[in-house]
Amino acid sequence: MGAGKSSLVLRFVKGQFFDYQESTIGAAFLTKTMPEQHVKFEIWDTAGQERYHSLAPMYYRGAAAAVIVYDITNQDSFTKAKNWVKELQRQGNPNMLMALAGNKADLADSRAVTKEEASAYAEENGLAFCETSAKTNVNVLEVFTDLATRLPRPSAPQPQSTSGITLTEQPPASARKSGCCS
Amino acid sequence: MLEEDHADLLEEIEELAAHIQMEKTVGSAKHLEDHCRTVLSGLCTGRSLELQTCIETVFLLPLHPDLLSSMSLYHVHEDHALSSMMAGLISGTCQVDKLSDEAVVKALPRRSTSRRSSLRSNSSASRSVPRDVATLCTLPPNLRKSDLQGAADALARLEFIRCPLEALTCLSEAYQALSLTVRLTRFGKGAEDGGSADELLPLFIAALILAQPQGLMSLLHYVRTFHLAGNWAGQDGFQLATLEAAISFLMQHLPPELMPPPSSYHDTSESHSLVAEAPGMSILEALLDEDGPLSFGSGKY
Repeated sequence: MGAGKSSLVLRFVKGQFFDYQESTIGAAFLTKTMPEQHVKFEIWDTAGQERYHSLAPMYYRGAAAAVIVYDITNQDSFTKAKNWVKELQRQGNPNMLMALAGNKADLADSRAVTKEEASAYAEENGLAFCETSAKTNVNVLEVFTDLATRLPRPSAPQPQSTSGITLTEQPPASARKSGCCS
Repeated sequence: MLEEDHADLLEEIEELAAHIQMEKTVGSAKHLEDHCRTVLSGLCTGRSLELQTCIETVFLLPLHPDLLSSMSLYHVHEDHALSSMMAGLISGTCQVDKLSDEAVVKALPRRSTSRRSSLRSNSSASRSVPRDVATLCTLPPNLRKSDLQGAADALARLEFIRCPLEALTCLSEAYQALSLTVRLTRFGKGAEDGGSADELLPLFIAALILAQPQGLMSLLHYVRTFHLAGNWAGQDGFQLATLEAAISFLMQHLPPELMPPPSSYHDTSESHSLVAEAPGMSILEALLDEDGPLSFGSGKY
């Protein structure tokens, strides 16, 4: 069972959960414009299987932001999320904004990762953090809104940027931790 | 843009394309460069990305054979290894971790037309994913019997593209076909989840193996280098990154017998970016490099 990253993105982009997708390429690539923030998200999904882990840099390279999703009912999922954070810190765009999302908050009764543990980890690593539920639509918009507000605004029109959730090429002044749902 | 502008623009582009054709064989390279710079700077200012793509395509059409063959010379070992591996997997004469020299020889790629005829005529074999391929790609169980014919047909056409835009069109068609496959599987089995990268990447790799386009590594670098007008943050970039990932995955699983010499293998997963680097060669530079194989200077090639 996955952490629910595709469901999270679908909920954000289409406001739906487990529903028919109109996108030409499924949930693997989706776009959403947030007019209030003057931001267009171009969201690239990456395959989560271990077999394809080594291919991930081709997807996150150049991304302006990343959302790392784990399942709050699965400790192993949280461990893997921490490994992703390390990898992105080591190999990703140095100015990349990161948000940690503890998904499946609707299953809090089966929780295996406490909110305090995840929050403390996020704070140590300068990540935005919140618990989300794609199923019940809790805090999904907040994760992306927080990223959108923290992304730097170009002072002048920029050339087409590079990849991932890529919105600007200007180094962010706000690449700092943020409690998006606190 | 007004219709008259469109007409004028098209006329200018056609004239330019004809001029390029002529100058390429008889004209002065310096004159051509100046001419192209002037016209391009005039045409592209304030115009859409799509228009830039059109102009780029017009430029590249006459140059395409030379450019791609130069890329092929540079990536000949990788292209050969990938073709042999894919052919071996499809023929069923070998498995990834058991490929022998004999099996490789038997599995050497045939001409693509006959290969695709074979794919189409032997529909029962071609529609579902061979067991070795499914194992290699770790296809999710519910997708192992997926019909990948549509995606494979689109990817097989990569071998016959005439410009980078056409390659991206093939990739787009393949992705759409795969997405449809996932949806059909999902509805058929009553599953709820959608076509995520967890499903689409393995399916894409499997479809690529079924399609067996030759010259994959050359093609990847060709598109990366010469599609200057691509939207690399958007769907173009995502689809090309997926192709790059698929090629890298296959290279990682090459049997030792097929491994290219170390000096000829250019790992795309580390230092080279599909999307974040400026191309090593401009179209105009390519125009100036005429009959022989292109030289790539001290750039990333």
